[in-house]
Amino acid sequence: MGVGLRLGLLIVLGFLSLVGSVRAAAPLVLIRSPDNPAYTQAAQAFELAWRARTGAELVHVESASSAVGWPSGGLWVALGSPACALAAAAPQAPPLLCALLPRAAFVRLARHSARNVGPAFSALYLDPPLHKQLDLIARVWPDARRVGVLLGPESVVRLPALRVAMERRGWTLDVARGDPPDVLPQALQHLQDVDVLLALPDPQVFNTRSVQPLLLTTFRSRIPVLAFSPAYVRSGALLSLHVSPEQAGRQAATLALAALASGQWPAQPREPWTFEVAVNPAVAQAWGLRLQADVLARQLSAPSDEVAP
Amino acid sequence: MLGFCPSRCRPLWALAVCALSAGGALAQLAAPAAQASAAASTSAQAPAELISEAEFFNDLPVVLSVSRLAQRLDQAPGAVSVIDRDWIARSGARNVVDLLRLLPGFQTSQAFESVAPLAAYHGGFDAFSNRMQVLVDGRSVYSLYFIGSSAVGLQSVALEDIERIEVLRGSNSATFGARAMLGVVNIVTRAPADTPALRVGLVRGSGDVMDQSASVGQASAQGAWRLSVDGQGDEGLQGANGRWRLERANLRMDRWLGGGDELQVRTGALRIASGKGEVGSLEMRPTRFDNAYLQVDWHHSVSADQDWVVQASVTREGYIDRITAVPGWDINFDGQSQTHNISLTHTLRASPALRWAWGGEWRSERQDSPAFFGPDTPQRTDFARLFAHAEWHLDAQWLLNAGALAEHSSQSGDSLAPRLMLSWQPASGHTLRAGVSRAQRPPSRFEAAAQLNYPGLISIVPSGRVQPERLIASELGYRRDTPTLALDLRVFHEQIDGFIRQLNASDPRDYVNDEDFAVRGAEYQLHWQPWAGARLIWSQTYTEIGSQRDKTGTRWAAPNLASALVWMQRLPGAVDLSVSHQDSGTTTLLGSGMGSRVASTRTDLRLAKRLHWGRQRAELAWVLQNGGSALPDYDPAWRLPRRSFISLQFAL
Repeated sequence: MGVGLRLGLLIVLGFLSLVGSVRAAAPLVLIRSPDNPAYTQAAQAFELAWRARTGAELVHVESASSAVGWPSGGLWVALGSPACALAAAAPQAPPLLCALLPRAAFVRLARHSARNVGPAFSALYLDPPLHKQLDLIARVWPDARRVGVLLGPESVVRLPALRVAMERRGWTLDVARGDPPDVLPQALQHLQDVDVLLALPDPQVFNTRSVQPLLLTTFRSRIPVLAFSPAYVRSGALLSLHVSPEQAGRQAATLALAALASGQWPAQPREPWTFEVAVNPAVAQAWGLRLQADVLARQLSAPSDEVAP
Repeated sequence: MLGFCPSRCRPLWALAVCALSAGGALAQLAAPAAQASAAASTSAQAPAELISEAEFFNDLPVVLSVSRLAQRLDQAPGAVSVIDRDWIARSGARNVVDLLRLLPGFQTSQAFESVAPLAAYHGGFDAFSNRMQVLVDGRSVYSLYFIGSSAVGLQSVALEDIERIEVLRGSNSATFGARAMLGVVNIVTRAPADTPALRVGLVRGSGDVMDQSASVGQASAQGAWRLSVDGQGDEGLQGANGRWRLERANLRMDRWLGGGDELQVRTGALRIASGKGEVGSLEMRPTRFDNAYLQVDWHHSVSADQDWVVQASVTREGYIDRITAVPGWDINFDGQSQTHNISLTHTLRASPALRWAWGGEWRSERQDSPAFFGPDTPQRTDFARLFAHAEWHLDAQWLLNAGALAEHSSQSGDSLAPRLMLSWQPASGHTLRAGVSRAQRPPSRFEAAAQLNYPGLISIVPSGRVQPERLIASELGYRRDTPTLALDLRVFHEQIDGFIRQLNASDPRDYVNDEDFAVRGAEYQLHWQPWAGARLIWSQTYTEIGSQRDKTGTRWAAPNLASALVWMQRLPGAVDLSVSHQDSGTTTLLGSGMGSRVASTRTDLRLAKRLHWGRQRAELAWVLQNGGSALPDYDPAWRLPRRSFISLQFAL
């Protein structure tokens, strides 16, 4: 409720500042998707980072069912797939950066949008780069040579890039199809010999129903799971590499500040450059592993959210 | 669950029949698809199957809650030996007893004379091995009908269905119940989700060895089940009326409910038909033993740090044994027994350094045997138990495992079995342990209240004065763990007070608390992977039983020195070789006491070849058991012969 009030105030202030402002620059409009607290956290982190480095205007909007009523502004940043979809569909919208959404979701949105991906329509992906995930595996298990993945219709597009990354390291990739959900147990039987199971998000493979058989079976087989969210780690996966909403917000702000000067977004969508690592201490203890999440995160991340490498 | 066995659960619950129908009628409590609620509120929402940031931000139920994370071996409150799936498959053994033979401190017999092959730890004092607890997936399986013998329980499931056998060499009544006096064997079955959809096996060989087995199963996202059916048999020991046939079926169903909860239902039946008695004697006769069980477990995760487990089970036994050859006598040992059990365990991780579990159990035992109890049949004993134990990391190096079990029995009154084990890890990979525990074995119904009366032939009518045997066990241990080597050394002093014996001199015979003595010694087991594809397991046990009753054979119930070596080697061409050699010093035979002290050695060999075509796997193996001369077993006149057989396994 306090958040809603604060946002309402911001919108009013933004409007007033539009009316009474002597600034020539159009404001940056930060559109966030509704309902999930992650969007609000990202938006707040974005604002803090923004205000720390510029006095330029920032207008918050919560996306509803259409883009009607949104201020035009000079630049748009949309947080989350729903906001991004609405923003991309809005006619005569200014240059747009979509953030806080996975690569596959943006690619699909872009395919259905009239806009072309480029300096006027770009993205900051939520999923960490594949090579960072493999870096984490190499740090925790220096002797690992065999990685398994469970792929579904949404994640199978990563396979070519995955194979290339594996070949570069001289590792072996074991692939099993994790959908439809009923084949999950057999799929896991095919991955018995891997050193690590790398989880790539796909709602048909990794969901609230499959998490139980997946974690129980991999735990029995002593196969560690490198997951993609802290929720998975709380559930029982050993490790995850992910970007927190706050980090995503700050990184988006960094891109936005650069775009403020140049008037356009990066020509190619960007991958995140700082990450968080979550460790399940009880599972690590059960396997005799000593892992320090913050040290691992620092080793994999760029020095700061504020400087895009 | 605390203790080294994750599946040991002690629940409290109602009729197992209701559980079965509830389990069958259980609808998928699958949680709604984990999609961002954000997706629901805009017209540009993604359908549930399409990826969005919801995958990264939505919550998930806790699956690996505290009791699912078993204690590590180096933090276990005692010396633990694990016979894993790999060892079971490559050993050539046909039953669990043949595997326990290779662990430190065990005395075994392959005779079916005492219902089924026997394994005893730290002293084969008699033919009933009732000073050791045997659990199958947390269900206690000692035979009520046979004075608490663990023999039948060890036959509960086929070897192909066993994931691993965890053996705690040492007393732990605090965790495993009043019968865990000297040791605990916990058989953990394979999860149905891990087993092939179809498996068929066949064994044929000398001595009329004839085994066949099959299992089918299915796994889905909601659950998995497996049905196994098998039969085994051979002509038994040379010189005995030992031809036997065993048939068994087991069904296990796992169902994953929403929120990290799980329901497991197990049911099965076993039948053993075997001959008994000396060949040519009047006691020679066929016997038949049946048992059946139903077990339901419900695991409820409250959070990552807390969960509840409820277990309920019903077990029935039936026995048919009639001796009709004695003129003028119609001896009928037929009878039945039933056990109902329900228990509840709450496990809590109070802090990163403290994990504890507590719970309660109610158990009702009933034995019906006119031959054993005369007019007082059926006999009924009820137990109520409360237990608690804690695993407390005092600091980075010191760990305290403490627990206690309080029991009220309608037969023996109240008892308390506390246990304390302190571990110190001065450096990574080194663990020192010191511990003490108290346990007791209450007299079985037969030992306390039998009325076996065939005057002139045999009369056993105990006076009922017999009290529970008491044990105080103290031990020092050392464990070394490296990536390729694990060593576990245990030095023990097990003081048994009030050892119960049957007095054969009196008529009618009585059971009395006859002696106090200590079982002392040291044992170690080394697990080593010396080079690629090799596994070496070496163990030795030094035992001294301090009994002074020279006429009873108790002093020789365990050999002074026994050793066992197992070598498993993967060879090129998908060939697998295993050799085991066991050497036992002079010890009494399990069925014979004083008159039968022998030393023995036994060497086994197995050569196997694995075959693949497409997704099917098969393995053809040749096994030689007891490559040397025939071994005395159970009775001085009976021998375990040299046997060889071929086994073929096929899996889909």
